[in-house]
Amino acid sequence: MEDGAVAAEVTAVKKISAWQSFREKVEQEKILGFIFIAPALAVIVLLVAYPFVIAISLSVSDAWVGSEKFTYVGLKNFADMLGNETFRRTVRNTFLFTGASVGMKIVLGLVLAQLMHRAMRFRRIFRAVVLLPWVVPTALSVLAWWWMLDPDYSVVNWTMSRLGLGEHWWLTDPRLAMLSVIIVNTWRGLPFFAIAILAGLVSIPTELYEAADTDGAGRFKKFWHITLPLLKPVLAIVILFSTIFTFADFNIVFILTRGGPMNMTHLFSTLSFAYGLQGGNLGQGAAISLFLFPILVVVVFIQLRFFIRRDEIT
Amino acid sequence: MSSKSGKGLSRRKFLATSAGAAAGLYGLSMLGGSSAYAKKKRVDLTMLNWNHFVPKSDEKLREQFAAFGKSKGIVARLDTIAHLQLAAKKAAEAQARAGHDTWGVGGGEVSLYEAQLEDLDDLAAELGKEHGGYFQLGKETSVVNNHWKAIPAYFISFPLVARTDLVADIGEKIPDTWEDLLRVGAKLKKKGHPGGIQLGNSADANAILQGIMWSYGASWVAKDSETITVNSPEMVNAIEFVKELYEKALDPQVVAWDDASNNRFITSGKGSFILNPISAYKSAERGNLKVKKLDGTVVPAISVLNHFIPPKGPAGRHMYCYTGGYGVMSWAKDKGLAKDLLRFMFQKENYDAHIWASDGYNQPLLKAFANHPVWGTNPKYAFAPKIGKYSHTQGWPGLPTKHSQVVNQLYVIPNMFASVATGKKTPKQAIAVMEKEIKDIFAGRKKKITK
Repeated sequence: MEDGAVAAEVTAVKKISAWQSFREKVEQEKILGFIFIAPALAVIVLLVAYPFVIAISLSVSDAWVGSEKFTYVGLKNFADMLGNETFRRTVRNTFLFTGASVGMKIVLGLVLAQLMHRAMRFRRIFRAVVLLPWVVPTALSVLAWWWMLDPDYSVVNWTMSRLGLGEHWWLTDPRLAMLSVIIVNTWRGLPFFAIAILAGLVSIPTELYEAADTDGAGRFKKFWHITLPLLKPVLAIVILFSTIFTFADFNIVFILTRGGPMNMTHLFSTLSFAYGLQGGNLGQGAAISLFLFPILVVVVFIQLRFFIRRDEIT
Repeated sequence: MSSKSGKGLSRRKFLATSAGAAAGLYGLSMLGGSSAYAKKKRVDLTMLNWNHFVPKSDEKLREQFAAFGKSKGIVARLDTIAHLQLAAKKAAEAQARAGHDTWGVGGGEVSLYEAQLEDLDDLAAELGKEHGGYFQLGKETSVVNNHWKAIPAYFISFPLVARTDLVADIGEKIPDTWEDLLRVGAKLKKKGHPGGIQLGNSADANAILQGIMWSYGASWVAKDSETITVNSPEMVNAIEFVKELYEKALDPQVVAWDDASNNRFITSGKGSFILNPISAYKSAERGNLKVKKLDGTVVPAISVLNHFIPPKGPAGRHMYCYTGGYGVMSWAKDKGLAKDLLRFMFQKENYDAHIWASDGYNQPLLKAFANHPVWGTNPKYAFAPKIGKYSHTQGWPGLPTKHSQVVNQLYVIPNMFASVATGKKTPKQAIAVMEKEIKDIFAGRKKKITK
């Protein structure tokens, strides 16, 4: 009996030690870490990496929607696009749209954040209202803008003409149509800038301003030498995100101008959609959308280098 | 491993608790879900189509789907979405090789989705025999490589819609030629009532401008559906005419118009003429809209709106039309059932009822229905039985193809006309750009068009 009990105990100990060694193995940082990261990795592989590879393969093919098989055409789709006037205008549009929108969001975001930072009545309500354009679904708010800028029944025009500012063909004149999409993008993205900058402003120690006051620094000098340098990390990350999202924007142009008038307001995303999904030429559609990729890589690279430098300094 | 004995939540305990909570929530959701599933109806047969501009048309089709489902002991459902979003939805279904069992298809889609559309040769022959055969337009838009890929159902024409009171008040007659329209339109614009023809990124712009092009003897593709024929003296004439029309007779905002803008324009009382199916008239009727006459009196819009055969040009009378048919998809769960649905939709009483419901907006492509009584119910539909012989679809004199579909979707034609009308380009520059864009679209063509 004793032998049996000992044997059972030995088996139990062995089981426990086997379980323990398994657990210890699993709990090693590189294994456990991988297990934790696996779901996120799976999502990225399935929803980002796989479609990206598909997009690359489509862009070097003559694929049409539903084509059962397609052939490799090399860089023909890219070359065709470079010779296409609408595409070349789209490249210019995308840079203008992104540069102008992000620039306006930086300037206005700084102003709005400073205003919200000041102690005033109804500050909380004011901050909540400022966030509204960011919260309302884009499709819905752009439809409202479309109605306000309607070629024939624009309330903006009606108001401007009553104020003696003349009528403007917002969506009819190509330059004003481009300005309209820039304004709407700025309006929508401004709260993101303002709130993020406000968070940065709140974290700046007041002692610095007090010391500057003692030294007799004026408003501008305080902004230039204290506020702006300390806001740089926040600004950098906000600009990074905004640049990426603005480059890839779709909704605003799609709803407001549909790329018109005369295809003068297309962005990469809307032109790619027109070729690939509406027109059915998947190869050319994929090629257009992939032109965006190296541009975004450069943007991210520059921005991340900037971050790394900031980290090293601080 | 200090957390093991610490007062705080250990990692293991946290994981165990989270897993338990997640399992509990999942269990609860499944409880809720199962009852929801039990309530959800089984759908055995579906169709994807566009949101009809006359809503009663879709209502009637839904009624017919319900009746068909009942007769077969299944559930049949019609899904409709806005026409501008339909192309992307169809592309997604074609790529996934899954989705609706049947589609409403039109224009170059039959060619674009040739591989996804089942051959319907037997059914087309059966229905053609039953209803007196198809008009040529129906055949051209449904047959690809000698196979019927869809059953042609209807075409949607573009008559001239004009304010008869305004035309009479300036002492003119309804224009019979495009030059007449320019003269009359110029006078009406001076009175504060311009005309409206879309020159923007809209489906109607593709339609009307191709009609004008053809009336001036120009085309962008030849009868072989391959040779690009944009560069011609006739095209220069057509572009110059539209430029003059834009400057003298049209609302300047037409370059930014969408497909609904012209309807709003004519029913608001500002516009004097548009080219459009009867939907503008129908919305004026539905909303009991009023317009102001030149003498200031206010009258119901429908009392002063009328439809006319579109004007003719130096090369005759030609106008664009949309075409629609129904096809069975290769991924349909039960293709026999899907064909039965089409057979049911084309039964005389059902097809008749659908035309009634659309109030004549849908014009038949089957000969037996050509003189449908709906057009006798309102003298303002008198144009309808006559307009078919002047109507062609995209890419005429060629056939509608997947390439002509892209030309339409990229609004190449409206942009050519608009860039000259607004003074951005000369006719020759605009033609050169359009020729290059169309040649790029056609580049890489492998197969010959054999219909």
